[in-house]
Amino acid sequence: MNLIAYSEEKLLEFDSEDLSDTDALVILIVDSNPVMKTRLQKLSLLYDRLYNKTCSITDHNAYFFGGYSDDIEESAVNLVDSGILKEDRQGYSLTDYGLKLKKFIKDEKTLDSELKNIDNLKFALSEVPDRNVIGLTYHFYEDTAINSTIKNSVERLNNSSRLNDAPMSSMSKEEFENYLRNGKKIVITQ
Amino acid sequence: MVQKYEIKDPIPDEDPSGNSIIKNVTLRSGSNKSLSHFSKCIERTTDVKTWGRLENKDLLNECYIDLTLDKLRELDSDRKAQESYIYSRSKFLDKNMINVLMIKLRIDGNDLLNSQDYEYINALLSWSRNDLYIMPVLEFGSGIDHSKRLECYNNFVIEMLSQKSSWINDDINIGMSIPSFYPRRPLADLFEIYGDEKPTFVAIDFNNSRMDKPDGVVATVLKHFREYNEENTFMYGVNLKPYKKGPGTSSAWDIYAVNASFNAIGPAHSKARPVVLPGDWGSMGRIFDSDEINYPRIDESHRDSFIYWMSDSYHVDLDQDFEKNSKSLYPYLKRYNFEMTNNMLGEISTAIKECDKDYVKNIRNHMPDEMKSKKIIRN
Repeated sequence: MNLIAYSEEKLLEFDSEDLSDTDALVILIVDSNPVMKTRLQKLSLLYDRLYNKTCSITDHNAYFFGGYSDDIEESAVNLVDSGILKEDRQGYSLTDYGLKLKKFIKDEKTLDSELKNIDNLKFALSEVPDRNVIGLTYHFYEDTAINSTIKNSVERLNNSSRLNDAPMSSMSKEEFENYLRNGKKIVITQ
Repeated sequence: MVQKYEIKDPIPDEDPSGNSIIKNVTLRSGSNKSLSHFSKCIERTTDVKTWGRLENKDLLNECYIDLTLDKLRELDSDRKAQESYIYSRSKFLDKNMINVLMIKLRIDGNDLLNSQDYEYINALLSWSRNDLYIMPVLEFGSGIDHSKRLECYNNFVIEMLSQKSSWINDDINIGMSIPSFYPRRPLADLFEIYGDEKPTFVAIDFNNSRMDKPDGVVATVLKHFREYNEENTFMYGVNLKPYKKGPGTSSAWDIYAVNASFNAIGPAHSKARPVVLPGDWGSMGRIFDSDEINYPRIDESHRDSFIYWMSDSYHVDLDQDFEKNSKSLYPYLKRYNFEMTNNMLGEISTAIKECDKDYVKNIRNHMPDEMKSKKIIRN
């Protein structure tokens, strides 16, 4: 039996074909710098809410720490096992191969046009620390916080935070979503 | 002792929508062991009491051996060490059950398998109580580049096949395995590697995930068999996660696997996580509800069913107040779910054999919503 070898281009093709929308979303959110699990969960939740998916690809539910999706967690774990992501104490990041795959799916895969917009959402929140990203999801999507065991402490954080130099309550959900959709930077100050 | 397997008496029931093919078959190993219904595999936490309550006691006895290359080398070819390692990871409840040694070998760093390692693996597979020779799956750590993994696994299978005749009789057929990282498209190459072995027993590793991409690897395997008009096939889902985590009720993703032609469903082997002790019934874990075919959190009515079951099975009277029960109840919940899911799988087999269309339709209706539009039939 001759050994079967595959070129990297071929492997990228194979892998991109097998990605679910959830896998693709995880790859698009994660970069070469580590992304904490919580941030991954909340960014995917925001994506889901932002585009008001009629058939959610992430299926977020209100869990003990706010919006949580087992689909996202499962995808991330599988992508680590497949060598596309790596995981350390700082969170998930793309491996060298993962970075190539990300480029490949952005260039080649007929991505849902909304998925391509994830970069706007990421950019809008790029300077917001993880804990404040959690705070924003609790504030604008209260239904995801109903079972939270850290609701009070997040509320305290939100009360002491200013969103674009104004109290958080002065920004409407529509305005907030416009910032994310259009990639306009959000600034949080304490 | 590893024996020849035979698969026969296929009874398929295909849904015209293309998203479900339920197929009951009989798997025989050697001359005296057989399994002719869908089953959830025996796992190391299963005990005689729970197993003894089942109507269909013939199950696939999974001996899941998850080990690193270092551990494999440490075991060496020491039969005694191998045996005690296997015993510590499995349960042998009855001599008539088909025992399947499912090996997952973890390889990290730049450490590749040498000829001695192949001997160790074959020594494990030819262990006296193992009945089927199933190709092990490999899992690679971060040290091995993604682009090398597929090639490494293919080479591993080639090498194992070339050594097969030194370990077992030529007429013994091999079961194929598909690791979780294996993409759909090159599966044709993997089938080609097996060549004349033409395996009809296929173990698909889900690596503690749900089967949420039935239109990928699973559909490709089914298409392969369809092309060869091979109906006598046995599908075994390894390390299959039964439900979705989260606050609400989850569909029974393990039971749903029968819609994708799976005949045996292996338990999930979760990775070690920090232990959080449950504080109440609701946070203990999911309970299988056979009426709704789902896994809710334990509410009052499920709590009472579980309390009754504990009393009936173990003569242990639990208190409705969770905190008053000193026992750790989670292992019992796993056994409860084992019994209830196996009962349901037995019912599905009976329905297929007796052409009970209404029952089968009900099973299909309970497929997770996300899966109802996915096709597993490829033309």
